[in-house]
Amino acid sequence: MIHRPTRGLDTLVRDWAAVVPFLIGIAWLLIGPALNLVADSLRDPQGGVTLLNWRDVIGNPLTRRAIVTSMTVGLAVATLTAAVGVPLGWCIGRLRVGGRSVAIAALNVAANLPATSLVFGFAAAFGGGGMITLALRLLWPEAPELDLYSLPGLVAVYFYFHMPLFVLLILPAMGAVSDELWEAASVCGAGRVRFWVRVGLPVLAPFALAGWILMFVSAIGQYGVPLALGGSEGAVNLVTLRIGDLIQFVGSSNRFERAACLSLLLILVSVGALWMYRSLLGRAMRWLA
Amino acid sequence: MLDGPLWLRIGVLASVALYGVLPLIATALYSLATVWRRKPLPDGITLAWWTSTLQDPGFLWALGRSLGISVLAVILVNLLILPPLYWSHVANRRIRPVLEACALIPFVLPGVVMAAGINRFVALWTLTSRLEATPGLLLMAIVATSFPVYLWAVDGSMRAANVLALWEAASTQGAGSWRILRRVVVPSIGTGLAAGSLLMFASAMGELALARIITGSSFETLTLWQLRKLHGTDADPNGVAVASLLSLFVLFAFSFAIAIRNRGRSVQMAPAAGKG
Repeated sequence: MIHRPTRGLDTLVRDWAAVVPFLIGIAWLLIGPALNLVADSLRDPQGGVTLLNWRDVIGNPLTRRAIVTSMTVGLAVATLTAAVGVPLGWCIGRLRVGGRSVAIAALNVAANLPATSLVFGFAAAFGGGGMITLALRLLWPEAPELDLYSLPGLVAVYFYFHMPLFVLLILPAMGAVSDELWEAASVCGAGRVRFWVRVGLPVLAPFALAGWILMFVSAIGQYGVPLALGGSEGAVNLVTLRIGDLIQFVGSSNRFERAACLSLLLILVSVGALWMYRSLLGRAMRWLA
Repeated sequence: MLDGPLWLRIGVLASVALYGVLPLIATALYSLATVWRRKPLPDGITLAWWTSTLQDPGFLWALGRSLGISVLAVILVNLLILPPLYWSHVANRRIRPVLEACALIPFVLPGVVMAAGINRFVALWTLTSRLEATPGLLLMAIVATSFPVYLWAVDGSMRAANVLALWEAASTQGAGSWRILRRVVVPSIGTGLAAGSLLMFASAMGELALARIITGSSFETLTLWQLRKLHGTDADPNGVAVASLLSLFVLFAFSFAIAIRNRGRSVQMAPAAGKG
C-alpha cells in the first residue's frame, strides 16, 4: 500500500479523486431522484406538504389491487424459482468445465433476454396459438391452453427468466456442499437422504433464502415484461404498470405525486428485503470460507 | 457418491434445456414461416422475413440506436468504474465500502421508478434541464442502473488476480499507477473486464423501461421497435422474431466465449456480503 506519512489536502485529493466522477453520477442519477420522489409524494399543488397523495393511492381500489397483485406475483415467482432452482443449480454445479461453460452461457442469455424477445418467444412456443400448445392439441384435443394474459401466465413468463438468474446466483454456493462434507457424514453413518436433510439443505438454506429474496425484489420491479405482454390495458394490474401509466398519460392533477407514492412503496419493500438479504448472507458466508 | 444417479441428473438437465430452448425454436420458426396456422409447424419456409426486416429502415435505425447506446454504455462504465475500483485495491481501501454501498442502490430502484425519478429530478435544475428526455440522459440512466454487475465482475477478477501484489511489484520497478493500470492490471483482469462489459452491453441492449419512460418514441431503440411491432397497428410478428434472433445470437456467442475463457467459473453476480 502507499505509505502515507502525513495527511494533508493533497493526500485527501489523491485518495479520493478517482471516485469523484462516479459519486457525482450516483448522486445525480440515483440519490437525487430518489429523494425527490419522497418530496414529490408529499407535495400538494401549492407546493406545501400533504398526505393527500398517499390517501389517494391507498384509497383507490385500482392501486390497492395493483399492490396486492404485485406482491402475490413476487411471492409466487420467488418460491417457484427457488424450489426448482436449488436442485437444478446442484446438477449444473456438478458438471465438468466444458458442460458448465455451456450451461452458464445459456443461463446468462436466458436471464438477460430483452423483455420483448422473451415475451414473443414464450407466446410463440406456449401461447394460445403456440407451437407446443398446438402440438399438444394434436395428441390431446382438450389440452388447456396457457393464457399468457392472465396472472398464472404472467407468473409462468416471469419464472422462465428468473430461474436462470436464481441458478446463476446460487451456483457459487453449491461448492459449500462438498464431497468432503459428504464423506464426513457417511463415515458417521448418514445415508443420502439423511445427509441432505440434516447437512446439505441446511447449509444451502441461507443461500437459497437469499436468492429467494432477490427474486422477489426483481419480480415486483418488473415493468418491461408485463408491458410487452399486454401493455397497460392488459389483464394484470401491477404497481409498476400503474406507475408507468401515471407518468405517461395525462389524467388526474396529481399523477406524478401518486406515481411517487407508488414508487416509494416499491423502494421501501425492496430496501426491507435487501436488509434481510444482507443479514442472511453475512451469517452464511462462513460456509464458503 | 454425492452425485446421484447419472440418468436422473441428465434427465433434469435435458428437460430444463429443452424447456429453455423451446421459445428460441419457436422464434426461429416464426422468422422463417410463410404462414403458420393450426399446425404445430409452419406451413412453409421462407427467407423473406429476414430479407425484408434487414432492409427495413425503421428496424435498422432502431438497431443502430440500441447498438450505439450499448457500446457507449460499455465505454462509460469502464471510464467511471474501473479507476475507483483499481484505486480501492491499490491505494485507498476505504473506497471499497462506498462502491459496494452505491452498488446496492440500483437494487432497490426498479427501472420504472428510476426513470420516473430521473426525468423529474433533472428538470428541476436549470443546469441540467436541457438533458430531460434526451438519449444522453438515457445513456447515463442505463449506466447508473446496470453498473453493479460490471462492478462485481471486475472486482472479483481483480481480487483473483491479486492486483495489489501486481501493483507493488510493478511500482518497485518505477512504474506509475496509471501506467500500471494500463500495462499490467488491465491485461490481467481481461476476462473479468470482458464479462462485466458484456453484461453491461446485454443490459443496455435489452433496456425497455428506461427507454420507454425517459425518451419514449423520440428515440426508438430495438426493444421499443419490437414493442411497437408486437402491439401497434403495424404489427409485424415475423419482424420481431428476426430481431429477437439477431440479438440472441450475438449475446450467446459473446457469453460462450467468455465462459470458456473463464473455464467454467461463474462470474460473481450478486452483492457479496463478506469483507474483502
